[in-house]
Amino acid sequence: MTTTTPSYADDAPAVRCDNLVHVYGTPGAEVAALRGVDLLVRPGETVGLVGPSGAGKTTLLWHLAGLLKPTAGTVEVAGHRLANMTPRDLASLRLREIGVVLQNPGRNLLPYDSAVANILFAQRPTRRSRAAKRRRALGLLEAVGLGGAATRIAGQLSGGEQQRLAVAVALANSPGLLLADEPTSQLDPVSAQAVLELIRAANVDNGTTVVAVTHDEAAAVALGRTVTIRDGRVGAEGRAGEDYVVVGRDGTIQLPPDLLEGLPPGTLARAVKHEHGVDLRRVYQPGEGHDQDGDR
Amino acid sequence: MTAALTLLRGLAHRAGTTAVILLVALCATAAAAVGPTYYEAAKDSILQDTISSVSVVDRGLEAVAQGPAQNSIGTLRANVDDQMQRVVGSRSRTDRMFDADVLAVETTRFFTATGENVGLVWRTGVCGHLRLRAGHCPQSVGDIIIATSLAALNGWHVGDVLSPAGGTQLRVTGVYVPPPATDDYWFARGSVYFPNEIVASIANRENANPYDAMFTPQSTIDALHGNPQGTTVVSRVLHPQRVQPTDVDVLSRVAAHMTTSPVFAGQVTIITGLGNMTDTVHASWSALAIPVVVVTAELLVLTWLLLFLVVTDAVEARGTEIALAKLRGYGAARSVVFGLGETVTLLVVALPVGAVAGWLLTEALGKLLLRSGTPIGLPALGWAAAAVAAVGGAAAVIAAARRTLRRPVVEQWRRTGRRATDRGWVFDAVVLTGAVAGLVQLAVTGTFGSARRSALALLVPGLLGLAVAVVGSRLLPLACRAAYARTRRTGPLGPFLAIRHIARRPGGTRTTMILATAVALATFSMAAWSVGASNRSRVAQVTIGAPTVLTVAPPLGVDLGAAVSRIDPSGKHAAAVDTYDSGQGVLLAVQPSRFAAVANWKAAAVGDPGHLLSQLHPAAPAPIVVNGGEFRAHILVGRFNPAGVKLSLDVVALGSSAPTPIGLGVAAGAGPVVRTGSLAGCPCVLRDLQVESAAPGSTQLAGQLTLTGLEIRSGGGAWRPLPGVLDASRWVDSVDQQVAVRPSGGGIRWSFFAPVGTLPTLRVLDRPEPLPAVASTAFAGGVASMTAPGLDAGNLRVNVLRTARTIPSAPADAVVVDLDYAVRAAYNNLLPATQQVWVRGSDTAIQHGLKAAHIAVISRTTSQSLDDRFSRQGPGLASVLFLADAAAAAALSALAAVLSLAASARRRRYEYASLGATGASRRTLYSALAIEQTVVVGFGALLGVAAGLGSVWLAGANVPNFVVAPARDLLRHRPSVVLLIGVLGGALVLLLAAAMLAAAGLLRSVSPEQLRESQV
Repeated sequence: MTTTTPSYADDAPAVRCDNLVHVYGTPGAEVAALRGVDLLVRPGETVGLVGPSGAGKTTLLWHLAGLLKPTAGTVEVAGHRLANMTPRDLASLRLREIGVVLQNPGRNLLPYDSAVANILFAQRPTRRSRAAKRRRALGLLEAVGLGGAATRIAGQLSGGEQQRLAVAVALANSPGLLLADEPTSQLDPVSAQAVLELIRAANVDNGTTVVAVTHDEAAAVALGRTVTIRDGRVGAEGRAGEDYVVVGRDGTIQLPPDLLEGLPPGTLARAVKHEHGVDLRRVYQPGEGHDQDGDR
Repeated sequence: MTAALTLLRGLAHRAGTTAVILLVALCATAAAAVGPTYYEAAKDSILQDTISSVSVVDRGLEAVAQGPAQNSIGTLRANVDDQMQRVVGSRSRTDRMFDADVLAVETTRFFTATGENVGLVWRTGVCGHLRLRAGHCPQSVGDIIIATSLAALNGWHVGDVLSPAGGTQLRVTGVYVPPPATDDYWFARGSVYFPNEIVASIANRENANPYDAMFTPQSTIDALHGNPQGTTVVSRVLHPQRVQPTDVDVLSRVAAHMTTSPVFAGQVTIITGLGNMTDTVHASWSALAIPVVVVTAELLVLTWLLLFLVVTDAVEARGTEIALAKLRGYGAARSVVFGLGETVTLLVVALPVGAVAGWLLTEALGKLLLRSGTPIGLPALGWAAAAVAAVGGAAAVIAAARRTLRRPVVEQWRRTGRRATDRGWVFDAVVLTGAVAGLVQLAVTGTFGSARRSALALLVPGLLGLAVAVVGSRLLPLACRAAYARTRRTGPLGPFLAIRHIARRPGGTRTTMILATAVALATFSMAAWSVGASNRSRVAQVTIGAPTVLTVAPPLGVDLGAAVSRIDPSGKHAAAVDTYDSGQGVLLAVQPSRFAAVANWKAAAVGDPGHLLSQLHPAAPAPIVVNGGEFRAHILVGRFNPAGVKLSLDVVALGSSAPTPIGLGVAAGAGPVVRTGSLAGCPCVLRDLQVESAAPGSTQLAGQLTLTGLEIRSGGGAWRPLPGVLDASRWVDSVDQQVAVRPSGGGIRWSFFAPVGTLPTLRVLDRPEPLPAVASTAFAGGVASMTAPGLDAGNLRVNVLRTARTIPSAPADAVVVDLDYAVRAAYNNLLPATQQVWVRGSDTAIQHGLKAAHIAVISRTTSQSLDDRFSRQGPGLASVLFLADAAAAAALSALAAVLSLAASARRRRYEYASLGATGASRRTLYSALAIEQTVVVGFGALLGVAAGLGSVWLAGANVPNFVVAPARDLLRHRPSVVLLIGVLGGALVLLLAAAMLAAAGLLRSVSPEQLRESQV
């Protein structure tokens, strides 16, 4: 494991979070769900948000969908700073730029309406012609393997079919950003794989940027990079099969559990700067005497 | 198209909710449409009822002009037409409202030989309204038809040529039977044409012309020499079925204009009661209009609240779909359209369907309540009211959905939401303040708590119900919270869960509030209806007097009482009753025991009518009937001061309107005299012996005489003494002073002193003097000896033995006497009186009996028909409308309450599934649900009943039951307890049963498997 500071290109990011803080407030109990998240997603990237339950992944995703107002920090999607946008503009942004797939297949759909009507429902506010909308809807259904189920009632489809339909609905308006909240968590492996392939195809074929919350390792592997959220912070990133810790803007880093075995909480470590970065050397571990030299 | 399909699929998906919303929306629009529709139909019914029940004078007008008989009718007719057009506006409208006008020209012809001045009348279409006994209708100049009475009097026959003064000869072409002079055709001229049958009053009777008119063609009038003076008449009568409610104002203006028009001033008399009729109609309409508005408004508000309640749950259930729409980029407007589209569509559907349903409901109500044949349409106002209901419903829908529509997507998914700010108290405070302010305003204006009756009293139950409901519904959660500790410490799990759900469920308060208000309305409306129905029935029974009253016309000389006794030997089904109404009081001459059995005494609150009437017929001598061709009187004349007296006897022929004096000549000095005379038209009743001073000028008279014998004979046969004549106990002098009447030497000695101005009269005593009587308490005024009107319209001295607060047929101003004695007191002159047969039970057999006895039945009236007519007047119609609508609203509220509770419980299915998984038995869960529903529904219903009864106590007496209020003594304000307990108790049991079934059904759908379903 190495610590690194990724260098980003200067082109306009699909998603940019700067020091994003979100506090859920209930009287007598305020919970900080995000504690200063910095995230940059370039157009065409596929990013998986991983991390333990309650870490703040879904909250971050809702911020990206413009459904929450930051307590502090900023969120930009497709160059728009969401906090400055009116509800009308936000709705317009969601319509044009953002597709969302939720965890529960049924919740993505109008269960009483047909498959094609669900896609048309998502297209309804757009200005395209009725015929174009229908062509697009039927094309999407073909793409997700539901070409023969256009007129079937959504609530009567299987869970996997519903989630594929949900992806089709999310892609109805050709969004630049596809947000998915655990899109495969309630699916059998075959269905889950099919959904992942759909998402990947959207990315490959249309250049759609994908940010997906997932606990599913297969899903995480299928995505270009993973961002681990722990305790409301970005703790690590994974790229091309390698994991990196991420240095926070206050200089903090979160060590993954396997490294914590070597540097358990309470450990005194010496940070040694060198040409490629900084090394941490343990000089004291709770229950031991001081080791002035420390271990590398 | 896709959007519409989605909407329809959504409605189908939520079929139960769709049905409930549609039902409530339909009720709102139907309730709104019913009011105006019912009102418009009721207006027509009231109008037709009024027109058909008033006299012809009140539904027509007659112009009467004095002057030359010839060539004047055209001018009068043109003037009348012209003046009517000025008000009505169009000839066609006038012709629609009125039957064709009837024209008449009246003059007289004097017959020198007999001294008779007989009317000669041309009247359009007269032969169509007369029954000819002989001959044919007059067609040519000089042709006439004469009445049977005139023909009999003068011995005239068909074909006779009469030569009245003035030169024009008249030829009798027919003899007619005098018709009922009150027929519409005769308008107010019946008494002019048929004076022999109509005697207006005893006062002018002797001066009335007793000769019925001769009818002739117009050409006869035109041919009379010298254009004699006469009367021209134009009369127009409304055609009932053609008069519409929109005509009433016009008719009112017609009456006002015609009676005040300067065109007619001083020359033409306008006789019309159209103004009275339209005033009556307007009064009845007004009595209905305010209740219709109040009832409709109350029900509209209630249905809007219901809609709010139902839609709140329905939109809440669609929260995730609305969140999905927002997530898909729907803006605020589109989200609202999507979120409310289904409900608004239901409202749009409910508008026409509800309006038509309201119309059909009104038709059904109309068949039961309104005058038969009343057309019932759906007026523009009905559509407008339904539209207002739909718009109000849309406002309620928006208010109900506002929170869900504004809820952020994330809150919807997380199901946590921002803690709702408790603004409920603001709503409560506003409602409570409004309700209390309304009640105070009603109290200040005297709408309740005073004797004043006002339809605004119908607002009281709504306002009081709302006020009580607002306060009461807030108390229930508090009471449940107070029971937290108790259920935590001891007792089973069911009550523990139930009271917490009641205390924490925000919709429970709304449910209680609406249910309480609706039940308050229903309770009050039921009480008001039962009070009104009971009062209307009581007043109808007391007003008519008996279940059925037949007005009859016995032939001359037929004793109605005896005939009725023969027709109904049981004495329990029919009673002969002769009445005379002087305007100041009503005499009821009755057969006491039959009257006690037949009249509506129960309605008059007389417990023992037999006892009340038991002393009306003490024993009394029979009348002295004189039946022969001649009489002979034996009188021993004593000394008179001044000397010289004229003697006379008065006899009264049966049915005659006046006594016939028979002069016995002058007795110049003392000594026995024997005088004979002839009798005509007898049998007669001997009325009195009179003495008058023979000296010129009026003077006092004192003296004595002795009647020693009175004999009669027929056809020159032997003289027969009149039996009983010499019984001193059968004679009385009640007008003179120092009177002594005693037996003396086989005769009756009568001595007296008569001051100036009195006519000494020794009268035959054939009845108790004064007559024993029972009188209305108010009329008697605590006085025993008083003067009442007699059947002959004269004065009748009575001795009031007993009083009753209410007497059937004349509640407050009746004097009841024995029929036989009253007839004797009137000397059989019953012309001014109305003769009736009162019947209890079926009158078919009685009518057959009367027909067999040749007694014509002129009219038939029943208590029930009057009750029905009362029910068809404004207040009666309003009370039924109130009852029907309030009952529907209460039923709907109850349904909504049960559904709301069920919907609330459905949202807790996970909770119940969890409890089931952790070991709570199904029975425990059922008891929790059952207790919750019983408490909420029962509390709401009981609160409503309490508020309703409170409203009855506060304002029950102020709800008008009649257009014209009857005597307060007749009214009761206590509702039927049996009805209230029966209906409300039954409804509560049904409601709770429905709640239990809903709870059981819900729990059947709960299983631990639900816990496997994912949640966000």
